[in-house]
Amino acid sequence: MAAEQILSNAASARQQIGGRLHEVVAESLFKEAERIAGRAVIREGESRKFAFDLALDRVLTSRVWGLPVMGMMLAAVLWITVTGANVPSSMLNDLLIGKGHPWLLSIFNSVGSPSWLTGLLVDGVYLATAWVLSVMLPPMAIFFPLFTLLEDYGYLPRVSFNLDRAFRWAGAEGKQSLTMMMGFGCNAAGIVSTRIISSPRARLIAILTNNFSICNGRWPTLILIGTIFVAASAPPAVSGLVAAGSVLVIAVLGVLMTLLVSRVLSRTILKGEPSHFSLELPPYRPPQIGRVLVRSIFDRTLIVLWRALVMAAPAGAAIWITSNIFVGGDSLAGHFVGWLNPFGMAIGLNGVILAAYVFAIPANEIIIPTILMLTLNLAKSGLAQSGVMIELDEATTRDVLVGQGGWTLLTGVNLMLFSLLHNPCSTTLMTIYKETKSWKWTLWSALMPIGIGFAVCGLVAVVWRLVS
Amino acid sequence: MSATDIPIGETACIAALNMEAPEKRRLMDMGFCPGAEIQRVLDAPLGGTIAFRIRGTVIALRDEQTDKIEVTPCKN
Amino acid sequence: MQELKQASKACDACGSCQKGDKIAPLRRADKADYVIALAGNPNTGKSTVFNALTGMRQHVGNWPGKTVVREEGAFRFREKVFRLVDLPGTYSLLSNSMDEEVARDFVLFGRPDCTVVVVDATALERNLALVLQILEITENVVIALNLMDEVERRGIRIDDRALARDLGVPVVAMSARNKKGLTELAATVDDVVHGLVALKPRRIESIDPSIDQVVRSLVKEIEKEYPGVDNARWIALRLLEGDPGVEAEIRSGTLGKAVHGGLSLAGGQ
Repeated sequence: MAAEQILSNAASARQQIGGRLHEVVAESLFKEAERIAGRAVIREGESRKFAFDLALDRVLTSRVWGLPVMGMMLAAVLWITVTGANVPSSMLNDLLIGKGHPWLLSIFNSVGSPSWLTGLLVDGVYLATAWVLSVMLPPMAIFFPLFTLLEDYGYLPRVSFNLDRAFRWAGAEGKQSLTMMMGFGCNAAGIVSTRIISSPRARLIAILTNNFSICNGRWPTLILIGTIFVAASAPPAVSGLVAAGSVLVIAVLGVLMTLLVSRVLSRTILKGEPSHFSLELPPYRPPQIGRVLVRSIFDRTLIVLWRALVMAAPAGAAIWITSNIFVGGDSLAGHFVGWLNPFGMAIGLNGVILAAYVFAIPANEIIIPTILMLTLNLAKSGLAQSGVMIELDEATTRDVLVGQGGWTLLTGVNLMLFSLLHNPCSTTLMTIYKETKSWKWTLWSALMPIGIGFAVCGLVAVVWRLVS
Repeated sequence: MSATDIPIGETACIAALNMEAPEKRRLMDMGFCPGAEIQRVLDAPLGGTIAFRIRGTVIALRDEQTDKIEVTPCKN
Repeated sequence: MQELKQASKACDACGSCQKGDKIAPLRRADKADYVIALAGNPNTGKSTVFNALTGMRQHVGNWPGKTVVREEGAFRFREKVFRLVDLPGTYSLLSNSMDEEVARDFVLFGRPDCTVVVVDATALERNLALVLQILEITENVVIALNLMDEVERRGIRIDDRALARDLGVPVVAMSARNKKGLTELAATVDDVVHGLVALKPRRIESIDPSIDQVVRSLVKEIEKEYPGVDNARWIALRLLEGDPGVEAEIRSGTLGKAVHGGLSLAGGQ
């Protein structure tokens, strides 16, 4: 066959040339490119643009300032988010829960709706979605545009450059830091982006650790708990800083976990040498503010919000139903929570939080609303300590959790930790399966973070109780 | 002299790439060919990673790679 | 924006753009008249060009390697439907990482009617290496000389006519994020798919003489076996490097078929 003949001729010629071909071809390509570019580009004196980029890079990646500036930048973004979201959040809360909920109740009552229907729709579906809106919309509408600005300006590759030594220590490929940062937007997107890593071993490490990047769905949870629990125990003047600081600590902890777990994996079950690293540091580009705003609102805020609402409505209904079907003196949800409670308390959380993480497997976004719903519904059924149903229009999140759920500062801190260290959402798990084609690694990526989460929360609880 | 030894801000020309084929290919595809002019522009804060300006772009490499890039002063 | 003004003036003069030419993004395109591939180095604004033409909102970020899968969109221009395939950004088509293979296989085996190479005008020399590789594979190429606003800010001037002459394919100066030069790009692509532009792609000649001899004899064999193949030299070079994808094409005979026009993703023709 002629085709086989060509192939065998090519093979013998290959032997003859040896490994030089690629080199020769690449060299002639670049020589040609240089010649053509030389004719087409007319430099009228190198501008200040490159000098400016270089000067900025010298600061952003400097031995002294590189890392602190990185931390300060993230802290500033978080602080602006926390303080900026306060007012609109309470306004929305006032409107949707303070006024909207009683108003809806009165409408349902006036048309003679049966109490189970009113409960299911108004206390279940409506309350859950209203909470998602008021709790999540303001911080997202501030945080995502700010993050997108940094991304568009070209800062992310500099972060990779700054952290490369650490990733090398972890036995990871250099590009893993980029996929980690994609995870800060969405873990599923982060997992897909690991395709830029060529070694399968290094890629698997990047997939397994991507969950330690706090995603869109978890930022609002952290910001909220940081604000109402951790910052509440600080003087009002610095509470914004404390809240931002607590979220920053969790984010940094996530990076440290990524490094630590990568190192352990690359020395045990995914043994191997870190491969090469090459990263382009693109020129800084002034972002177009208007477009960033529009895009981050449409592509991130609304998508996350929509996902949260779509998940929150059925979850709200499910919670209401399970809290209102009684078996042997307690509701189904009550039994479930009661069964989880001893273990939850042992690791400084509680049964409600663990149950909420089960309800919220489809979307991390609805953790807080789910916790609130469960706490309130169970308070009605008598499981919470106080047992008194507070008026809903006075119910701020903190009051509900402390008053009805018996939360302490430890619960808040451990919830923040657990929010970092638990299984990925179902979308992410599905993406992991699609990318790895392996149930084993999908299961690994679900169980490993939960195991770490239980261990870390348990440890914190033990130490906390010893000290206080 | 290897590319790791270029002082910060200085320029040199690549003489040879002393490494195995796959790694060599990657570097050549990004323009690190013998004869190319490279300028060391940045050092990472934790060390070990160096950014070079090459053919109008800035590319960062680890020092285990730059150790294997042989450079000489450019003839101009 | 001097270059851009020139570009649009040139457009008025040569009559390539007619009045009323408009790019209409399409939500879905089950049947496309033409398939256009969008290639380029990472971080050249490829995704911005893609979004501007198709009206899609693919995420754009200033870091290399964010497009790792093939994205598809479509637009209507001069009564024809163009399907646009955004390929992963790569520096080269010679290696075998996942993203480079996706890009290369599509340009080679997907047989797009036209390949638009988005080029970062501020780093022309480096970007041209990929352009030259693509010109080895196919002649239906349009260069989108993007980020011309950035070029301006840096006090550089680019002679896009000299560039077009040197490369032997059309060059369109543009700034996708400012929506400048897009109609001109679409018009040029339209001209290329209709065979209205003379294409004489630059092919690399300067190569080590001892290797050149080997390559030439292999090119002869390929041209004998597949008459009419227009990138025999490139195929020869790939075979000499032992590219498994190209070897498989030779074995299965798809290469021959594609040459005779049997394989095309464009449904409408």
